[in-house]
Amino acid sequence: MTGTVLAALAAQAAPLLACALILIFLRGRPRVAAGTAIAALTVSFAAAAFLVWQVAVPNTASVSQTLWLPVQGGAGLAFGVILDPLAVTMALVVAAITLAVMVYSTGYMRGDPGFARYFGFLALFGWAMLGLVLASNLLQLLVFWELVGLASFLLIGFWFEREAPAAAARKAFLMTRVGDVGFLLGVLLLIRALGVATIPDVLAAATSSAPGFTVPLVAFLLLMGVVGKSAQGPLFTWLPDAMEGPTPVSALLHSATMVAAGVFLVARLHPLFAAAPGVMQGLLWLALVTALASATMAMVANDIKRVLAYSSISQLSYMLMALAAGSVAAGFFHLTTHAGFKALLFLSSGIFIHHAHSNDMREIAGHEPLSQKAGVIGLVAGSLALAGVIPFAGYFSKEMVLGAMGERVGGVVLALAYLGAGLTAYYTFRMVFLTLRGQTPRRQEARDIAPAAHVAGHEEHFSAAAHAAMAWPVLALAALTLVLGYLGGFFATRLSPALPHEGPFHVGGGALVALALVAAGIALAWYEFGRAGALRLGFAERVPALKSFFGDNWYLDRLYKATVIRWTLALSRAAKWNDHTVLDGASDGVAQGTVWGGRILSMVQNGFVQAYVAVAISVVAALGIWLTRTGGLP
Amino acid sequence: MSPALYLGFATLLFGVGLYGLLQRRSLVAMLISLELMLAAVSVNVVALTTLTGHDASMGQVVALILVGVAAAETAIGLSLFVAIHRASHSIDVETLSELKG
Amino acid sequence: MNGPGLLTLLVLCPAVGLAVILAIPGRFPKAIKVASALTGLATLLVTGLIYAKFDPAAAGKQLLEQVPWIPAVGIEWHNGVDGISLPLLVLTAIVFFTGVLVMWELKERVKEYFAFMTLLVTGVFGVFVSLDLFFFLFYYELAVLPMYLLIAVWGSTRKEYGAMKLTLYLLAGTALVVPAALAVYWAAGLNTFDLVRLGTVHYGHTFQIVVYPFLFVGFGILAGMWPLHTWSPVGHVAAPTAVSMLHAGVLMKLGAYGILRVAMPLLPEGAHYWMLATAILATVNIVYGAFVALSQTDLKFVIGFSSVSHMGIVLLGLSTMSQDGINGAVFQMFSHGIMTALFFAAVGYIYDRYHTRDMTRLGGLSKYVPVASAFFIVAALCGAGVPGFASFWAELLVFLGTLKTFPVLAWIVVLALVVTMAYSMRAIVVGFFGAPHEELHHPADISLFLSLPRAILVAVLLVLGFYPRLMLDIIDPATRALIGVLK
Repeated sequence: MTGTVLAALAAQAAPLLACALILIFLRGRPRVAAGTAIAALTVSFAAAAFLVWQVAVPNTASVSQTLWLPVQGGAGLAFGVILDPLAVTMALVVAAITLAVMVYSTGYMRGDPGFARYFGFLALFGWAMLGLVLASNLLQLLVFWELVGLASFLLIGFWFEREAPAAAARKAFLMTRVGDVGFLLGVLLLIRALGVATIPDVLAAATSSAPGFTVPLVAFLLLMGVVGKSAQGPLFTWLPDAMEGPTPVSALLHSATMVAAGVFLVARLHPLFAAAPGVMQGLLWLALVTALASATMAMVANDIKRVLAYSSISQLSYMLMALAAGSVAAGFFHLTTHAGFKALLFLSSGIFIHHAHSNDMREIAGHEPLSQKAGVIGLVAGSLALAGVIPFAGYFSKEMVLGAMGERVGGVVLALAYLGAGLTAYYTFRMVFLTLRGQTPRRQEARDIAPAAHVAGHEEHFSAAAHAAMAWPVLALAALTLVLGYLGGFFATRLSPALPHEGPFHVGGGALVALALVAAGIALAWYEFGRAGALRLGFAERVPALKSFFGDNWYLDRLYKATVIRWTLALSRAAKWNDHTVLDGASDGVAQGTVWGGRILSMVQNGFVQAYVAVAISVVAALGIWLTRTGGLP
Repeated sequence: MSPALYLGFATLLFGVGLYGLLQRRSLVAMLISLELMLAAVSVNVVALTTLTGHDASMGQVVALILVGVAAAETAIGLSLFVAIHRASHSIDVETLSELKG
Repeated sequence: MNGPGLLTLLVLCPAVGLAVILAIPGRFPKAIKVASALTGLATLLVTGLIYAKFDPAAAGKQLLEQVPWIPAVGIEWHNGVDGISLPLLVLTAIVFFTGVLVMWELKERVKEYFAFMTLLVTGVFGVFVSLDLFFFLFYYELAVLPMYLLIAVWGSTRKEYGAMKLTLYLLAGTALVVPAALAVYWAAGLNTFDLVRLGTVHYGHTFQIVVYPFLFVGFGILAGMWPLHTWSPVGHVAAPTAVSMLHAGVLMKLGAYGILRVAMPLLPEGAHYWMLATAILATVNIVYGAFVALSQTDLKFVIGFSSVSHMGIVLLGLSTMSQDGINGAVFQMFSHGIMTALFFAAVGYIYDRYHTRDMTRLGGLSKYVPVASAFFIVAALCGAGVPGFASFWAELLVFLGTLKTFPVLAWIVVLALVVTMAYSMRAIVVGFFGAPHEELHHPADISLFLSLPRAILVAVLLVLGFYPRLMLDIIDPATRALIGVLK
């Protein structure tokens, strides 16, 4: 076993060990629990950094594995670790963000009765996510895929005693399960056709044609999992609801890492998907529609976390569009920068939420938001990155995404993608101005305010140490948004070495268009929300129909309630009725029939000796007559 | 003399016994009727032995044994009736119909 | 011919325990409980010894014991284990031991309760080790009959009805199995009940086709086969905790085991002829059970119908007659046994303390009894097929086998996983999350001693969930041998 494999195993083992220790032994000792989890993730982070340093050769994957599950007609399924630039880079991103969020959480979650449990779940997530990233086998990937779903369920429903998080957790788990069913079928089809599911073997088979192996079908099924996990297309509505979880959880799982797992999967299996161009075209359109739709939703939301959630969906769509257009490097680069600046945005929004005890941007504005220095820095830096302002990280990665699309798809799709970039700038700065430039809180509109997540009555004892624990990760990430952008070349040479690469400072015509659109978006936001005396009402919010349509997830949830959910429940009730009435009725009927039959037959048994004698003698007489007729005994 | 007359008499006796057994409600009367039927059987045995060509006294021996058996049976039966009468103050079969299904 | 050995000892363990329990006067309930727990421990130990002596690499039956019993009709005391029965022996020992611990707080007729329970377990062990058809059926009945009393005396909701329904259904199953078994005995004409020798005979094609459904349906009733499953949820609901554990955890496996050990190897052509029909029935089981579970509010009913659904996966795996499918089915028998025992143990505690199992009247339990709730949540997640627990692998293998043999059914079954997830989530979220109901009086959380049996079950699920080969390496050679017979 080489050092790199050992490091990969250590990166996974440490959080798992921490999770087990915390959940079994340390539930009553919050400080030790947090320390254990942070120590474990530090180990993972160090191991991942070591891996990034060691595994530098592009287009090579070293796999070491051991047999896990015997399967008929093959050597069985082997589980192990895959070490290539994609995996180790993602592992580093995951470990870094998890670590930052954990440090932040020691402040944010201070005093919560479930503090230790929270860190146990975070460690569980860290293990599952690192396992997903480093998995060498598709089935193994599926296992960890489900496990991050489990961690997501547990963390969204962390404040389970309130109805909304509990319902949101259920919705998230169920909706992703809908996609995962497709993923599972795809993996099963693969195993059935190939007998193996090791990722390099699968990719090799995608280009050849094994009998009974239809690439488009498998690609489509795997994409169902992606759509569920990365909250795309029809399955996105769980993500805004998932904001009911603690804010650091939203930062880690529901923007930076877990939801990016879908994107990571597409990058991981990119040759397979590339072999199914029709499916990729479909993905491109789906992602495009999702990007624009979620941008419209972000334009009318008042809950700061929901705005960020919609923007996450939108940015995930951009990553998928880049991948669908064929550029792994662009998609993955955007994933990395997005992980940085979106985690930053969530964490700094957490500072405001903590300060104002509300998620509502207008409420926050009324609580002197400018007093929260770290929060302001984080929010502004993150927003600039998200909007794609040069020289923040988001500009470079989005530029690479749009550039990749420009080379390969062009036309309407490209135009709409540029439009989306403008909308992103608009809703991002709507958020900034609404949060930071408010005058008075408008309490009369409090009905669509989600209650502050963590009102536990511990704010008075909120110490300087807690503030520092929350500020430092935010400042570190804010600094990162200025640095990460220059890594484009790093990603391009490692992930798509075959493609031409223009360097980070190339400002072509496309970039100018994008920057102009971004400027226009910001200007519109300034006019509507920022300037003194602004109405603070967006153009979409002025049309009630639009506001309701955008604000209600394009009525998708209502649609599901009225159709799929209703039909399923009706079917369920019908089955229950059948069981209790038809099947039980039949068996009870047989039982009753037996009883009645017994009653009827028991009438013969009337207790009169003379009746019995009469019957006995008649039978003997009949027998005698029969015997004389037939001539005696045989 | 043909056995027909004896057989006819036995049939008559059996019929009277059967009628009594089925008709009477008193256990004692039923027992008497049963004895009548048994007597009919004895008569039959004696009469039919003459047809077999064997020593006719065989039938009379059997008949005597039957009389003994009948006596024993009557003794057991009557003692049972006494016990029943003690328990339920009645020997009417209609009231003794507890063994219903 | 080998004399009696470990397997006889295993069957004798609970029998001796039964004698000891009967010898202790009823006024010492503590002594009776200790004696039962020691019996459970002894069976665990003997099972461990068997496990240690068992050679996974060898395919055939091992630890054979063969002593003539009634030579005139060819009945022998013939025992042996292979990779299919060994996991089930382990399962029975674990569920029995944990079941005794779970019932530690029993106050009513303690002596009779544990006596019947050990009697039942004797029968179950007998079935799993027996290689003689006569003894197989004898023990099968021995395992089924104490159930009536256990439910009717110690049960809860509609207990007489549930007990009677269960007994009648199971006897109806027997009424199908016994004539079919005798038909096989006579058709073979070897004057032996030895399953191994009966298996060497080739029965006529028509005979197989006619007799197989009797065996399949007869055993299938005990395995909860649709539409003859309705005894099972009603029985679960009525039964006391440990009986539900044994019933769903072990007893339902007897049916599937009967199909695997008697019906399929003796009548392989019959099995091939009917495989599509049985696979469709199994699919209905899975989908239908999941849908009914979605509408139930009594937690025990939810589990009862989830058992129907999960046993459908076992039946489906068997019906594929492929190695993956049967591996998965046997694995699922084991993991579902542990999982459902955990389910009932968890609900048992809640019912004991809250006196209701209606999830709409519970709610928010995780806040007040976090550990007791965690056990239920773990079981529900396992049931929903979350990886990390043993069921995931079992179901995966069955799906894989089904995809090879019946692709359409495999799609349906995999899609039904969404419904499985839905009812599991519903039970968790409605019963254990959310705001607690005001009128509920919340007890203390589960004690360390009562957590022990539940924690054992969780540990087993996790160990096998992380390293399924621990079990599959045992099952696989036996299945390979069985597949050889089926071809």
